Amino acid sequence: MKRHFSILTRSVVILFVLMWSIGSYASDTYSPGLVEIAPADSITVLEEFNVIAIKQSDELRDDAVASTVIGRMELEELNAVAVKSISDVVPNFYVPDYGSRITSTMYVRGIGARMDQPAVGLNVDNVPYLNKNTYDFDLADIASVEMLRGPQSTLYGRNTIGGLINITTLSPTRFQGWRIMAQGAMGNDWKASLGWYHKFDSSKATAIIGSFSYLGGFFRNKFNGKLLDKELSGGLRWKFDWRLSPDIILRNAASASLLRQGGYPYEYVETGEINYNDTCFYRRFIFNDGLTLNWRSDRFTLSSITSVQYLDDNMTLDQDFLPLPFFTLTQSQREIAITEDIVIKGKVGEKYCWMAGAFGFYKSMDMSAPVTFKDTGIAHLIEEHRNQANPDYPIEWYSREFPLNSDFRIPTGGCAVYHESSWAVGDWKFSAGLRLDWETASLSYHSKCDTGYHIMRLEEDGSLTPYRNVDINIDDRGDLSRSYFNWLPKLSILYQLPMAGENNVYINVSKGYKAGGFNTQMFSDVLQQRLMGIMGIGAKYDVDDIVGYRPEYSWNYEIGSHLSFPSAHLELDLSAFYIDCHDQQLTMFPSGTTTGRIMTNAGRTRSAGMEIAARWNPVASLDLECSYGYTNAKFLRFYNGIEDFAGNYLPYAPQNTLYVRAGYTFTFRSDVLKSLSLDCDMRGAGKIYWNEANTLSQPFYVLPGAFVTLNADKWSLQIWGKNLSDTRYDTFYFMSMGNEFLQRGRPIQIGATIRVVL
Amino acid sequence: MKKILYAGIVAYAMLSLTSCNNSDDNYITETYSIPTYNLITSEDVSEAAIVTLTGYHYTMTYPENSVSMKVSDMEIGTSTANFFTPTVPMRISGVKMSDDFLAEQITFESKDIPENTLASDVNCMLTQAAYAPEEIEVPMDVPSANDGQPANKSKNYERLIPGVSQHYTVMSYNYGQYKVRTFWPDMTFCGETSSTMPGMPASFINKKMSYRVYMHRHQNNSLTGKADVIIYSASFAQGMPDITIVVKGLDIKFDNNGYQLIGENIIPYMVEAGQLQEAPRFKFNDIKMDVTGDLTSMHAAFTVAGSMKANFIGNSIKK
Repeated sequence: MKRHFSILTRSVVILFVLMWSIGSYASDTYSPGLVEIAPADSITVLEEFNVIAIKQSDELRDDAVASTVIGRMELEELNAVAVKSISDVVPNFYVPDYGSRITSTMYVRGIGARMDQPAVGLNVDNVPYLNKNTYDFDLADIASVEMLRGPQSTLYGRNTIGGLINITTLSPTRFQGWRIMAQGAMGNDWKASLGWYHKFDSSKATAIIGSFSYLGGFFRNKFNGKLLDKELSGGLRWKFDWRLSPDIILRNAASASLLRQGGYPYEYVETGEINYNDTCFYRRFIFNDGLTLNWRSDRFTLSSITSVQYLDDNMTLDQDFLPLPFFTLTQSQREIAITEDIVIKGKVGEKYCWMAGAFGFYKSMDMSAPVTFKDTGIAHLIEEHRNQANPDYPIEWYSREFPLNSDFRIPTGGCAVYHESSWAVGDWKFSAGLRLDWETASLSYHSKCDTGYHIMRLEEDGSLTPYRNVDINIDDRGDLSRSYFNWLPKLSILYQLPMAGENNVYINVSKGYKAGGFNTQMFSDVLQQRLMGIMGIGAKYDVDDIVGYRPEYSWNYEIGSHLSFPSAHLELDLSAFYIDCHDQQLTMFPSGTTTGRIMTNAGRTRSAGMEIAARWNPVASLDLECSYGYTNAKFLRFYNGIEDFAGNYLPYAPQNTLYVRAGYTFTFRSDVLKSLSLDCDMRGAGKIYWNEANTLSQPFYVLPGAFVTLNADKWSLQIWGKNLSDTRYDTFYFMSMGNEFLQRGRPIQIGATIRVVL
Repeated sequence: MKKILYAGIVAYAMLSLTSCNNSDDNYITETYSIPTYNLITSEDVSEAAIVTLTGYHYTMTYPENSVSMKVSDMEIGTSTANFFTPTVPMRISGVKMSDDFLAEQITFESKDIPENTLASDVNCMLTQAAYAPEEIEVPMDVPSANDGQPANKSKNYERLIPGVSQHYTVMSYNYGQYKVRTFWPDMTFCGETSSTMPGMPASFINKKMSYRVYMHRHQNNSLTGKADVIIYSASFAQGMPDITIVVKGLDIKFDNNGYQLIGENIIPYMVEAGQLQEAPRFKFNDIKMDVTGDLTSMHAAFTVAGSMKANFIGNSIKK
């Protein structure tokens, strides 16, 4: 950790000096004021290209897909630096903020995942993020965020069953100069970023951006009085664009980030306290690099996107979240991933358009996940159970602390080919696509435990005499592997309405896929049950049954419309959907005194709902925006061996999401101030059920916010507030060892952000 | 990681399997010999029940699915039984035991045996659908006290099965004044156990518990008259962890109803770390297990620790 930080610190200092030196000798470059930088919030920039623009239309509202595009201006107004910042703003998209940054739970239209494989794909500057542990990060100078809802598996493959998020950061071809941001807010929340954007000549441009954030925390651990959710992170990003020739563009985007975080402010429901004794932290180092090569000829465009990702993280938990020494868990992983996507696309604008591609990936993870049993855990979970069964021969463990060690190696690889064709017939556009996808995953595990206990004999006078020793030596190794082949089709029909502006209606049928895999977190329970089994008590788990889970499939049926009424300054997006999901992967906490979570294929579920998004400027200075999503997601069939949940709502996915915003801008004719914007917004989510039995829930809640922004030529100052009503709401609930825990949402937060452009 | 536990196979001297394919008529004829124990009881209640071990020979013909059964040199009362059943139709069906295993079940009847007027009313089921004991190694020997040192490893209760095909014989027939019913000395009974103890608001129902009856044999395979019962996944109250209990030394009593296992004031053993560990707190004050009817149904009642009363109803064959 220290090593990474010292390298990073030195690098930032050197780069800062270098940038300042170079910047002071920079030739005359275009560096407009803040107000003028951003075009209308759109990503139709011819010079730039991203993976979505490679595979879809330049204008997403021309496609048969429910999409939301948030441009840079709005992202800055929202102070959005992470994916979860746009939760609630996008209809039916929900990213609760709980746990730590290793937990990137996303729900789209009732489809989501809390563990292992993500349900929503994420690309950042064309780099596909394969590991959900890397999804939650801060990013400075985001140019746009595009969210495609519904399965995108045909073109984007694995783990896009819920949708796809594409983040594009600001390109040095669009802006040159310096960008500085500093922010402070309640909770001792500090952020800063410094970006240098430079164009060497007409063909080459580069950008180096450094960012830093510190959070003092909101939630305090009663055990030691310290704030739990502290966070310190830093990042560095380097972009390089090179037009090799009029037809060939090369772009490289590399980033590294370092994080050290507390986290897990879980409140024990019985006491209403956050109170636990052992250390919890999460530290992470990520490196990504994405190289995009784009070649445009008269007849087609050929693109190659190559990426490398490296993750090194360590999560250490007080796994019982109680002020007693039960057990702790450490999960330490290192993963390297390589992806390659080659896309060839025919000429756009023709009556027949086509696209074909090939994708391949390989990733390998090494993980170590020891669970350490401590005094109370040994006494309560092991000795007590055993002595209840035979109190005349009670046991005493050799030592009051021992580890259950588990090491894993998980290589995964796959390849796919895909094609999509579309035919324009008058005002109609018919599209069909198919992806053939093959994937294989293996798990090599090594579980080890060396411990033991004394069996004593209870004598008539109440004394204990040694009776027998029992040595427990577990050294289990094994290999599991799974392979999957999938065909992932999609069909759509779009009709251009005979109206002025971009107006269409569409229907869309597509198949989604989320990869199967291995739930390594359950190994500690497998090992614990194995230990209990050796002692003669408890049930035995079968490793393959408990640890492995199958892929999840869905069929998505959607009807929608993109409407614009230029004369009324109104844009409207509507969609209604029905999702039939097979073998949906759900996280469950097994009954009893275990603490692990299993990923199980839940049988069958269905999700139906609708989305509305509207943006209206009734007068020039007044901006109104609204997005609402409704999802009714239920189990059609789910019997977990104990209870039948058919007909119940899916847990953790909100039934409603709501975002409403109104903003008024006063424009000044002044050299000092250009404008003053007054905005207020309201975000809402809920009802959220916390369990499959639907006995516990979070009602619908709203979080009002407001922001005042002063804009000048080269700077802006925003005073903002979130959750101004200090609404108390919960973002997460779970049970562990029969105990209930909740995490509360963030309280009221007021802050200020200053941005400077030079 | 599942493995099939075959702790041991009885290679009975009469076990054989021959197959003959008559290509002229396009039939297949197969002959099986399956050993089984027989409970022979008399209409004269003063006559004691007898247990013998015999091999029955089955000649099966396909595809017509017919069978004939042969009994030879079987001591029944004061006579020696030798007879063939006529060739009768047999029904072959499957019983799903698990996702991986569909058990074969063959049934046939023969009311009259023309060649032997003493034998009649043969009702036979050859079935693979016997419940298997849990895959837990249960040691047979009790270690001696050793002042805290690890104990030596004991041999386990090896599973006794009637031949490689694992067809158990569930059969009854009359022979003169005698009734013959077959059984096997290592059977596991599954069903429902309900237990109550003072202070419990309602009975605790447990359908996971199973009872393996292991009858001890002499070297010549005759029964010693003693049996051990292994109770798997034993749990008598909510929240109690599952344990494996061995109750040793029950007396076996055979009579016209079937057989009984009886015991009093027996301290059982828990299986712990590969050894039997005495469990005085679970003393079986009394235990009575009745196996009646076709000798696949059991009713058991026992009292543990002076206050916990339990009842079990179950079967050894899934029908």
